[in-house]
Amino acid sequence: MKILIAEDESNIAEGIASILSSQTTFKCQIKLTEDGKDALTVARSFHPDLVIADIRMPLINGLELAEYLKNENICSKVIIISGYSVFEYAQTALRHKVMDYLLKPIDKNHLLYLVNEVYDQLPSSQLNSANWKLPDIPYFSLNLNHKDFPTSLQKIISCIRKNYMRDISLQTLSDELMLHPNYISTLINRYTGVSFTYLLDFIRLQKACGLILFESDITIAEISYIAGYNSERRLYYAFQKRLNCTPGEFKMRYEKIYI
Amino acid sequence: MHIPKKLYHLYMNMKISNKLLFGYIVILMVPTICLETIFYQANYNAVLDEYILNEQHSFHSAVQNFSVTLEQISAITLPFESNIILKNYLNGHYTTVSDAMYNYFNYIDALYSPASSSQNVKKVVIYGFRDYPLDLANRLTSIKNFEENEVLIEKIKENYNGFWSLSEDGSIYYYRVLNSNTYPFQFGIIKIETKTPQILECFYSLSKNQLYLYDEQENMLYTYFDNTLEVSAENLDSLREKNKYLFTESLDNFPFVFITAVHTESVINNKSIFLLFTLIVLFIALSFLYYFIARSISHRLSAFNQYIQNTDANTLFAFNVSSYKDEIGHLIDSYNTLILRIEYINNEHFKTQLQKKESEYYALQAQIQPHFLYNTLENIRMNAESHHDTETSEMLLILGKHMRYNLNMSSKPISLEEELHFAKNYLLIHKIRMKEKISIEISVSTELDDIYCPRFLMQPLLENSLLHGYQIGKPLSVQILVTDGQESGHPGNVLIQIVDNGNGIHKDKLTQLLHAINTRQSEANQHVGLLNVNSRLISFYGSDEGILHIKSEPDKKTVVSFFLKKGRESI
Repeated sequence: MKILIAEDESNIAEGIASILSSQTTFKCQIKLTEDGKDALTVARSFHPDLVIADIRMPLINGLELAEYLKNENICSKVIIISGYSVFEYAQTALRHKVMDYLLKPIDKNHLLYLVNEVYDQLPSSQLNSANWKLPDIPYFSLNLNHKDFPTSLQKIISCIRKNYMRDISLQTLSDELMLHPNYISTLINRYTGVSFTYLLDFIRLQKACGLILFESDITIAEISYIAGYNSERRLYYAFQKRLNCTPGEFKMRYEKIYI
Repeated sequence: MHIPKKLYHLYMNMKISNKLLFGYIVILMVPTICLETIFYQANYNAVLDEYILNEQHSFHSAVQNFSVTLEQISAITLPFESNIILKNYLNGHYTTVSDAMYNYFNYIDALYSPASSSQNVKKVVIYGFRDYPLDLANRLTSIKNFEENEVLIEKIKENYNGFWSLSEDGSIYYYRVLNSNTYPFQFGIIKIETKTPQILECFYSLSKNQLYLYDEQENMLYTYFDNTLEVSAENLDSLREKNKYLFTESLDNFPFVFITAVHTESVINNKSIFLLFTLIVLFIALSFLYYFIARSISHRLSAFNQYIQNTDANTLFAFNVSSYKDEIGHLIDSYNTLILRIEYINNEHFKTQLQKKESEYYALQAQIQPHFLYNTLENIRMNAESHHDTETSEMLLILGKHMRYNLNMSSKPISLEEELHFAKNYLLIHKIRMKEKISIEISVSTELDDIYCPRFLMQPLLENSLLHGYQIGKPLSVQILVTDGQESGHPGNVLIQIVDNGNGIHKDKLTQLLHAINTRQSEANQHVGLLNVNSRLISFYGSDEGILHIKSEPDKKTVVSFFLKKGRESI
């Protein structure tokens, strides 16, 4: 994935680059530029998948850069970083249809989530779930996009979706969302009818199953990390528990339907 | 000495309107009514006296007139007395009918002509003491034909100068013995029957007062009515009892007493009534005048007083009323001037305060320069990040977030969720310092949609927990628990509890603290943080709903809790 960072403060630019290169599950090709004009020139030849730009830069500012990039059809995914929470800026940013408007201090997790989002939608991405069609078995029929879910539950689900690749427990979720662990499990239970671990497995296994069926060049070990199980053993255990089969058996059973 | 003082105080504490009413009663109403009564009484008496005198006088003159009439009637007898022929006739000198007839028609008959021409006389009859050859029943006849009794004849004989008599049917008669100066013996009686209504006409003008005639000898009372006399059913004593003003008149030659009872009712009915009416009108007019004068003072004063009493110290306005140039007008003018002056000073003060605040704010902002600060922090943080120093990066992230929240100058309420984020950051900053000595937990067990609270609400409470709760050698735990208010009987609210396991608050101090919270007054600037939170909650909800509850078990735990309502963004 090609990422262009336009930031006149080298500390910040390098920091972001460091985060992106060290904490993503995929390979990142990152270029740094120090001002908007430079960024535009580089972008024309580099064709980045994502541009992260500071709002205040010499010559061309972040918002103008986003507009140029969009008009020249170079890149439509721009994340703006700003020290200002001024409403007008955010409004202009929205008008230019930037992807997001991040306030300093930058929330690392949110940034990574955004980058993952962009990555997932790349045609070349292994995790591009747009083309996936999981087998029509009862396990995958759980619907988590219910509009009647309370705000907290929506946040829980979205948090799990953002962080499934990490080590999630009821406690980490509770720390992150400031919700009481009991309340989290009660909410999940009441509205979805399943337990928290079931829900976590569901989201992780969706990814894992997609990868098994549609990305044949990824090993089971890699998949276990990408899906957040961190070990093949735990992945196997989850498959056994939820789908009553091993990942291999799952691949064998459903691969033929699609290929 | 004591009572007058008390009365004076009582009077001085009365409202002005009551004072004026008091003045009205004491100074105007009582004296006026008294004076008017006295004046009316005096006037009434004078009028009455004059009236009675007048009546008495007219009564007297009427009686005199009557007396004159009587004289005229009695004078009719004079020609008869001095006539020799008549004497001879009565003495029986003419024994034959022809003699008698001759003398009668030639000499005697002419004597009757003055009587028959008189208005007051009905007929005159002469009764001789002898028998006469000629008997003229209605003119000249024998005493035998005298219809009255012997007693009357004797009475007549005793009264040489004539005798007046009243018959029971109310007719008046005059009797006189005929005798001669030369012949000292009596030879007949002359009887004059009067036209009673005519002679009583002189009393007609007195008819508005009751007139009586009293027969002293017979003890008989006659009532005069419409020129006639009737025997009255009353007697003199009952008459005296009944009437206050009873006047009597008597005549020498008339054996009856005239009595009149003056009726004073008619006196009151006209003149006095008019006077009374005038006095009442005057009294009412004076009352109105007094009311107008009193009102011109008291009304404005009390209106002004009312206005001042209703005036809130925070909203001073001039008293708008048409002003006059008396003392009250000056007072109101002075008040208005004062108010304008206060307003002016207030404005000036407010303005300078505002300017001062503004300049302070700018000075502060110039010192801090938020953007510069965030940028620098972010530089350091990202530098740490490029050296894979995640811990430092996290700390700086927390600091940066904390700063951003702290430097937000907005005074609008924020969502509880945001406030909780801030609280978390605040606690995390302390955790950076104190590491394992402190554990923090924020647990929400309810939905936080639509719940708002004032900014920085929790910071003072957390500060208290951190400041007073920490004991050396014992890890401090600070919890923020958010639960549905339904469980504690406040549906539609959420309960926020801030729990620490620290020192706790001593019982006496807790009582003092709760008192300060309930009364919203603190002694010597104590508990500023708690009182600040309490008063902000109260002003946020505009009622006592948002009051702080504090429970504490010394050395175990302290719980500060309060409720927040759902859907309060608009406040």
